Amino acid sequence: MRTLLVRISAAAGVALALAGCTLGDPSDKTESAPAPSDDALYDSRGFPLSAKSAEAVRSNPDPGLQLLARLQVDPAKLIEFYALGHGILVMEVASDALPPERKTEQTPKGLRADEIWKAHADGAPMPKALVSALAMKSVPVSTESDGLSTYRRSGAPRHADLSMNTHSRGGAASSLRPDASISILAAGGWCSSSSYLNGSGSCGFFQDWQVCWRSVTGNSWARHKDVGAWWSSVCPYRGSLAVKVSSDEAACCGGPVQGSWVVHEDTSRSWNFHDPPATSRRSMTVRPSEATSRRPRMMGITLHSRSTSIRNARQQA
Amino acid sequence: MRGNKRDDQAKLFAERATSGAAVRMLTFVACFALSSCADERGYVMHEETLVDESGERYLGGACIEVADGVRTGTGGSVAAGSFSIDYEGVNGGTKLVVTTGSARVERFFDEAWLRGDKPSEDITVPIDTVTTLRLHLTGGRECVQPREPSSD
Repeated sequence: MRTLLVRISAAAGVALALAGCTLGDPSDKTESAPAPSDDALYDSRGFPLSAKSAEAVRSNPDPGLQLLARLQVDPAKLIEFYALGHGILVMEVASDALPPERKTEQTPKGLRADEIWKAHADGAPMPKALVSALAMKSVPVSTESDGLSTYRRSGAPRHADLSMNTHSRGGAASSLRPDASISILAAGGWCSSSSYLNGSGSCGFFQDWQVCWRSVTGNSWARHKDVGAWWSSVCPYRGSLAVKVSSDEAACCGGPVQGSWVVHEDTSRSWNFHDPPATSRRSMTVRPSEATSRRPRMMGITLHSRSTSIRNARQQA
Repeated sequence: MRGNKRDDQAKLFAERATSGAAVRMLTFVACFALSSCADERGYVMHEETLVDESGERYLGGACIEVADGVRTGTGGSVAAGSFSIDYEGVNGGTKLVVTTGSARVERFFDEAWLRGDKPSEDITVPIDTVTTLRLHLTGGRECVQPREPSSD
């Protein structure tokens, strides 16, 4: 079980698991604040995609965005590489220091994704995820001038030309500054959807009951009555989170009675609690910090629940 | 005669009522005693601080109760690596295991420590060559919520 827990915490962006000691109507056991509905598409920094980019993403048969790599080209600009269905999406986005609209002063033309990386990564190797994605045979399918270009897998030769069109002043197109200060912020996106959704410990885990919030902003909380065991982890990809864990019955079963942690951006925190001898009631509150200038954004929360009675039945079987 | 029967019924009712009250009282006392016993076990107050070249960063903490046979823990992944902090209730005490990618530290806190009769302990465990996780552990009869971390 310990190994499984490690996998959960490593793979899940945000997960919280609870389990009950007693059987009953499951609907009576669980409570959670509704995760804010979030139909809009966002880049990895939590800013909404432009209409054109969002349309391209939604038109893909598999519209999930998976961050492969991110480069900070200068203090104002990021270049991000996403896996989008069978293709690669390259976007220039504003860094946190600027408003969330796309900001690009220069536009490279006719560059392949690997060339874009080499031009701006200052010799840093491409992340494995990006290398793997580039290994697919691709052709460009979109050159709309909104910071969006994609590769689509087809029978075309590998590394077909990619035009990376972005908003530009006066429509001028030129190379990005070769001497730009480079720092790799993420390679594979530790707290991104790629980490969270592709892991075996993410939503869909085998517990009796779970709540999965894959993209949450604002205050959220979850509670399961008569908790027997719970697993949880959080992984904010924008901003820091304050997380509280509390139990309504202090002297019953053990485990964290009251606890609070801060979970910083692109780090994760997990909790686990096993096999209590008696019934307890625990709750977990995920409270984003109000002190940060940007609202923290989590890639998800999963509540996993397993009741003692069901567990015993499984053991007997 | 009828009056005696009424008296008998009244006595029986009173006895039953008394018996019921006694049972309820005993139940209450038993529950209270059990609760008190549970409280006697004591708590672990646990605070985590990440220390590296840039200074110290308080991550947070918890008041934890670990009954015999119960396992509980927390862990995290930071830029320097991952760590896990696991507690297990054993023989009235609590076994602590802190594991990182480069180290594993074990401690056992007995009942006296859990009741707060022994000094607090600081445990430092390396995560990588420049980053360490420092745990400040205190036993106590009451659950004391550790200070809340700043999320700035």
